[in-house]
Amino acid sequence: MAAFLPALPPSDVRRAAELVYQSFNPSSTRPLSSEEQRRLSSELFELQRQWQAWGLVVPFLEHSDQNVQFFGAHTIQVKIARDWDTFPQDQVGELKALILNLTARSIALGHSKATLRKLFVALCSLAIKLAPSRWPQWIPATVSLLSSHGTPPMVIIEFLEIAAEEAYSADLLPLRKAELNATLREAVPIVAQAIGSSISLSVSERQFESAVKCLEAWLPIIPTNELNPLIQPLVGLLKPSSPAHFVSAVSAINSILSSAAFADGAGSRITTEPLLLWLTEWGHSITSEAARDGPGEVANALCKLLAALGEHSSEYLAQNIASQQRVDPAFYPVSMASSSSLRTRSQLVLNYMRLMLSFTSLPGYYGVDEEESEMTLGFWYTFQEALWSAEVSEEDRSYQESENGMMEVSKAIYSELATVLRTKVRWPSEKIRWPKGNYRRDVGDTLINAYYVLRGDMLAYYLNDLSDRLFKPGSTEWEEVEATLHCIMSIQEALPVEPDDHLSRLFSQDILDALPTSGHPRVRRTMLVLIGSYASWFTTLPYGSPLLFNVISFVANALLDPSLCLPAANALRDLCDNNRVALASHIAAFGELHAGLLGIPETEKAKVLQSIASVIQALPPNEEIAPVATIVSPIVSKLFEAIQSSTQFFEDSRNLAVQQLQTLTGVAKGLTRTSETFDLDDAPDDSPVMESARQVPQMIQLREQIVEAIRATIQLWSTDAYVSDAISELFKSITALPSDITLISLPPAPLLECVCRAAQRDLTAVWLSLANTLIMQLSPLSTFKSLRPVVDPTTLTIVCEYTTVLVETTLTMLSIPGNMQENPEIVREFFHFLEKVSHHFVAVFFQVPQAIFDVLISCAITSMALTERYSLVAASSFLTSLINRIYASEDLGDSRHTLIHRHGSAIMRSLLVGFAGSAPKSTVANLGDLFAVFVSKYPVESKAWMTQILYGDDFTHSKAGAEAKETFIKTVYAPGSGTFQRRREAVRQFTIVARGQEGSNFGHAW
Amino acid sequence: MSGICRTRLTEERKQWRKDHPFGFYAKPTKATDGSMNLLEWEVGIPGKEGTPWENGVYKLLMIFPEDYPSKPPKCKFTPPLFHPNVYPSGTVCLSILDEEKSWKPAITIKQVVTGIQALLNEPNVNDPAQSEAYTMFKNDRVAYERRIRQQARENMPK
Repeated sequence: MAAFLPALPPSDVRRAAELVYQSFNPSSTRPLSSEEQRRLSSELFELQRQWQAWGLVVPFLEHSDQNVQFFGAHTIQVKIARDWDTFPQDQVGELKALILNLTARSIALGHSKATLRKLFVALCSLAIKLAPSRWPQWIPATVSLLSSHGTPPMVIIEFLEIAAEEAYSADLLPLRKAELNATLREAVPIVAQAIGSSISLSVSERQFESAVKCLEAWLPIIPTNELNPLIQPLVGLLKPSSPAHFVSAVSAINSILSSAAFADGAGSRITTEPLLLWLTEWGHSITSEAARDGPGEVANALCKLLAALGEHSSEYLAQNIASQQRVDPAFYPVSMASSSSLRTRSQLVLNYMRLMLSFTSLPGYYGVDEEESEMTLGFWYTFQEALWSAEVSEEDRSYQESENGMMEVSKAIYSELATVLRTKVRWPSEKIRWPKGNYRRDVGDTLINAYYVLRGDMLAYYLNDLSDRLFKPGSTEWEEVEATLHCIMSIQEALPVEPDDHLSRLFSQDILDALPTSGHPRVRRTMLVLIGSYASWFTTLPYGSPLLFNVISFVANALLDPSLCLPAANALRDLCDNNRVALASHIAAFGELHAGLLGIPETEKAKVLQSIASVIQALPPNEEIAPVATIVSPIVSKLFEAIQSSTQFFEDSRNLAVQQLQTLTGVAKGLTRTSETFDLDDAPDDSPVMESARQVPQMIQLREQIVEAIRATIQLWSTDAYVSDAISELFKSITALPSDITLISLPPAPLLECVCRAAQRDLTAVWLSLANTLIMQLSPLSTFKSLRPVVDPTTLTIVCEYTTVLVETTLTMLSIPGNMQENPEIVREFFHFLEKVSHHFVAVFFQVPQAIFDVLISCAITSMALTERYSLVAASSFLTSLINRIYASEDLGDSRHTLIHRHGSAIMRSLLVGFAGSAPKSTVANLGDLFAVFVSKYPVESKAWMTQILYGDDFTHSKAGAEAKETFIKTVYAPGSGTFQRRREAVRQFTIVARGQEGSNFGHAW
Repeated sequence: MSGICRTRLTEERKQWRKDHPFGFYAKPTKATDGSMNLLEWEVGIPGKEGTPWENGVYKLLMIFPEDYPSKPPKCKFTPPLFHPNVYPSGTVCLSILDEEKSWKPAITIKQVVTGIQALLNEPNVNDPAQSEAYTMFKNDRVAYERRIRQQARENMPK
């Protein structure tokens, strides 16, 4: 049968079969250990790699064991896909004939489905190598041969499915791919015929299912004209009485609707309209049964069909929702008698909407009683968008704006949707577990789309519903009330921030008083979250409106309930932050709130104090003094207590200290003006008033206490990651630019000193990053008022002192081998800090000892040779800033250039070596910026350095020849306009050439 | 917006609605009149179960450039997240979002968001985007996890 393949002695075949048998049937003898399993797999793998493995194919496919048969098929496929180069090409024709015959024979012998599918994959692998030149018409030829051997249609369809899957997804070069795809297109008629003859109630469910899978595999290939004839028979198989056919038909139709051929609603006459007609005949009986008995597989499939039709036809549905035009389908899927009563498109569309709503509102809980309602949510989102972009035909325009027009009808639908979704988000009143997942959030998103259609009507509906439920006689169903509140909360992001009567009603005393004040945590929690989400809306109220105080009282009451404390504290923070001015006149009430906070957890207390601080901020500065002292002093005292008790209870004290630092951070944030209250044009400049309030002895003392407490905390815990993080957050909030200064804003110098001490004990990127922030605040530039900032000598001395400390500390740490590579965050923050110093206080670099400066520049140069991108970029940015500032600072005299002359050559070398390959490609632009600064500020010196380095014997890593080097220097120094762009391009070109990437896509992909 | 950009984002939306990873959400933002901005998406990334990030859903803005998908979207946590590879501005530092590193036009929104979810609990030590989280992650894993759990509590869905 296969003389061209190696013949193996029967003993070898038996041994190989035994290996397969052991590997696939471990339990038949004894369980295999994972080690044995691995060994067997490895042996089989090795076996397949050998040329002799071809000799196993025929005996294995003749073997009585199914697994051995499968391994035989598998071996053919593996040998073709993996070892094709070793197969003698003059015997390819014989091999093809052999595999076809083996396949036909295996089918006739009734081999397993897995073996047959593997043989089909093997045939496809062969076709991918041979077709079309050495295997013309490979699909029709194979089908013809299999048919001649009496292969059943279903098996042929399975071959066709695999043919499309394997050949269409083959990873080939474009030209080869096009050739292979052409062979698929040639086969379309035979495929369409095979599928078409299987779309019938008379074929078995399995055959129809196979035909559907085949169709889905061929969808990207079959042209519309071949596809269209299949649609009518598919719709004809939507028979609820045959669920298996129904489910497969829906799968096929949905695949067609989402295929590229029918994208953007194409083919409405052959898809949308017939399906809409079909739904009028069958839809309601299915949805009624689903509502009554729960959804079965037919209802589930119908829901999928509706969702896919909605996705495909959203534009049609929007355009025709009020259209009086008659439908004109390509075919009638129901009898003319039933369809003749349906005269207009709008009738069909409205029928569709009713069915969709039936699924959206299926009785019971999503995830427990049904899985379908969630499938419909996406449609309401899509449909709202389609309504917005719908273009109505001229014929329909006259009545579109009437009371039966598009928007009015849509409003009626979305009103219904808003009603049914309210019931779907209701929690079970019984104590059953509801695995709601993200359902309530997804419903909330859907409601937003309903709001865009309904606007105020939607809020009116929910407010009436709420009012009816709260004020009707008898006991209140709190889960119903909660559902309504959830809906109102969900649409908040869509509501404009403007006065609204419905919201005024929602936050009225009547409604709030009707809500529970104890127990029923779920409804109270939802109301708290709702209040927090509408915090900015209260800014639209007239000054003195009672609504704001209504909700503040509601929230304050909930603070003392442990289960509600977190949402209450969040809501209070949002309310106070947004309504500072309106609440300021009630500062006394907040004093009472502060006094009553004893029982609440520290994390929530921090939020409440932040809330109070944000109200205090709206007071005139001199009136802030007393309340600020009242809320801040206890925090500072507690911090000192924590420090003092640390010797006994180290961890508890540490945690207490962190909580106080976080609380102080919250207060500092609250006291800082928001962008809303800070307006450069309108706000009176109250900085003199603030400064005078800051100078009150009570405040000076308070700030000194804070600094003292911070100093002591750092002294004790600076090496603790948890504390240093809290200190970092605090420093960012409690220091400010002069325009944002508050009563407790601290001066940067003492904090910088704390940072230096902490860094000396344990250098981390956190301290360097804070030093960076504080240096900026020491800069006179930040006053905005001085056009020519002059650094006063005291500040310069402070900056010089602390910079020297940080530089020495960091250089000592980084000088240890490996530390620069292992601590990229420290390298990065160090150079960011130095960049800031160079920008604001360049003179400092002329005051630090020269030896330290030299080590610093060497460190920067070393960083530029690192592969860590962040270190490299930070170091080059520092040097760019330093050179720019040195060059521009004429007040430092000519001697300033000596710094550059001393290190220029080494820096230039580092740049050129970086371009030539040592630097990651993505950093070349950063290095290029530094290079550009050198060349423009120190052109003569730079040219000399470049020449010396590029032509030096030790410039060995570059692939650039003398010509490329000369071109590089010439282009950089060529006179004329566009210098910046030209130099950048010169660097780019040199980098490509020096890295040997000329002519490659990779090299040019910058 | 270019035709390619619009077509691609429309298709991404379609695919997302059809099938998206559990617990995530992603949708284009809408103006007050209900019209959609395809170039800006609101995304929710859930923390993986069994990690300190669990129970939190972290909000992210995905901003697509006009030349998407040639260029990657910018992904920004709002508010900024405490994470070693998230810049203080909230922008995510991830190789598949960097056009000079691993971005490819074929990368889908689903792959981006699941990539970001994986990054949450598997920070990249080579990309120190913020010093606070990076330092804590490196020096004190216990304190770091505690801080992450605190953050998850603040990001629990409503």
